[in-house]
Amino acid sequence: MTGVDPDAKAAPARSGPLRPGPRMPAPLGVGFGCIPALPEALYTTDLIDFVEVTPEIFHRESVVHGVTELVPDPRQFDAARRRRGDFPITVHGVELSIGSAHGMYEPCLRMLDRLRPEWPFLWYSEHLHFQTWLDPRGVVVNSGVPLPLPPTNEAAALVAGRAAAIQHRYGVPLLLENPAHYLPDLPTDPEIGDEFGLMDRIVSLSGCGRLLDLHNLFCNAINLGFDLKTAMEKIPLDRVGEIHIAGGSWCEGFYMDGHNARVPEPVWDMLEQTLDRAPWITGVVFEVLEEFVKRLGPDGIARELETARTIWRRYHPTRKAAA
Amino acid sequence: MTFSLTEFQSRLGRSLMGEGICPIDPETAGFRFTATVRRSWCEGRTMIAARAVLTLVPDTERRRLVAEYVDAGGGLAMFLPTENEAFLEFLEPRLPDPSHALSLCRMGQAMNRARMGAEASPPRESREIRERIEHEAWGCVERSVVRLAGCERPHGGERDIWEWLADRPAEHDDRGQIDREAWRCIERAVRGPFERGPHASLVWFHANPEDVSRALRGASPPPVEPPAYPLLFAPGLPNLYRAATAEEAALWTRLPALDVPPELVEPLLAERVIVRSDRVRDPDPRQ
Repeated sequence: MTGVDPDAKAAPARSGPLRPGPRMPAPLGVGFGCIPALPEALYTTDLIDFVEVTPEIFHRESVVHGVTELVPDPRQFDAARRRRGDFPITVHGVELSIGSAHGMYEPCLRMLDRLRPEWPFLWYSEHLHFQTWLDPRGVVVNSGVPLPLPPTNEAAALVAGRAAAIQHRYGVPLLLENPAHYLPDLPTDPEIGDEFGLMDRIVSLSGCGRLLDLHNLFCNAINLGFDLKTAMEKIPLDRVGEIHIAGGSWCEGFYMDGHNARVPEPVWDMLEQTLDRAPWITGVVFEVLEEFVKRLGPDGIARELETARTIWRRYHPTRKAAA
Repeated sequence: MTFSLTEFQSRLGRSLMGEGICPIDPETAGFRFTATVRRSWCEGRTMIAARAVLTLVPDTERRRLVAEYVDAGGGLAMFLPTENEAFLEFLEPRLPDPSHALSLCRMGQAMNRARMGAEASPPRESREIRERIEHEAWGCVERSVVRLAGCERPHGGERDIWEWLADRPAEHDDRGQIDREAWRCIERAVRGPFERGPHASLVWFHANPEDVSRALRGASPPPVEPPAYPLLFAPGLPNLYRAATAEEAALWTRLPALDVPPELVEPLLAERVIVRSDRVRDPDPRQ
């Protein structure tokens, strides 16, 4: 199984010295996604401290002079700009496919090049996975679902090189998110070991940070059958810049990272344990998919944000709290 | 690992589509569930990409169409607008004709075209029109000289014509005649023919579009009547569409045409519903 190697040392161990990278900004607090369909009342400093933007949502593909580019959809772009307001912003990308062996989806990077002057994001996060592959004719195919990378030296070196280049390109930290998946027994190289070893090697080689998705970790522990406590102890927290929390649901015997429910109690407990030991941590984001907003309701979402902020302030008394 | 990363990803991707040799154990519950999730995501993306059209398709038929599209490799676009364009193209020949669903499908395609046109570079530059006028007018001058001089087409082309003109006194009637003919050519070049704008469409609805729209929000669909509600879509229209008048709908069916009612020309050109044809007509042999 690749979820966690039970023979690996329990204490957080690095595979090498950390390469320096851009520094995280001062701690922000609790963030929330940029969802124009939600009531404005949720986007208040009483509830959140920053907004996490997924720019692909308000862009679409267009071929410009023979080159595929992501161009803003004017209506959605303006709605996102209004929703973001004056909050500090971070970018959480979903389509880069940083782990695709044949290449990343470069239009995403060019989109961020154009976006950055007007949307000065404090850091950029991406999922550690791949979404596209080459068919035998050399045509790029979308996998239809994000897939995990095998914990190998080749995968680590590939992503580390790209991560370092992206940090250099934007001058802000790149945080890589541990993915949720259901595939056991991915092929491994022994010196990498498991998915935690893969992330650790990439962080060491590139100087990038981690986006620790506690709900993804919770899902993988259930679905791949590893011990959550042991896994938590294995993860070096010194480069965790951001934490994601979310809720999920059961389907055909698997617990899915659906972003469609309240945060489960064990994930709140994990948040408590992590915040105390993560010196780089800058923000916690509660994730919910737009199509499930109705199910949770604005009040339900507000309660999750309030809980996150209460926990955050136990470990990071804010300027507002101090004032 | 025995595979390269490229080979591993390709094999895993293909095996989730039911092809090739799987690089991991395909019998695990996790692999099978990943394939199920993949399929579900493809179908979900497809449903979201054309939600309005599918709302008016009966449930069994909707599922069949979505499954057929995904089986054919659909549902994989990273961006919903891309999926929307591809799925509407797939649906258009498969929906009943006439039906409200087909009208909505064509409306979606028309909106995409109009939006693309609105984002593209502005319509033809004046330089192109000037070049066309010069081409037409020069042909007119040449024909006039041949007729007035009573000679064959000049062998020396442009040079012979200029020499012939230079020999005529400025006040000579021949020059006035040539001027008049050249202006007629210029007017003809500027005035037509007209054709459908490359990003414009006219879509017929078989009931009041507002009633069809209400059906999307849960009301009963109106009966399918003979087409009587034409909507125009074009890059220059506010919100990219508006209702067409009967006169505009009649004009649309007979484009390209030279004889566009004068009162329609300027507004339809401005809205980019029609454009002047790029084709320069052959000279009228009677002139």
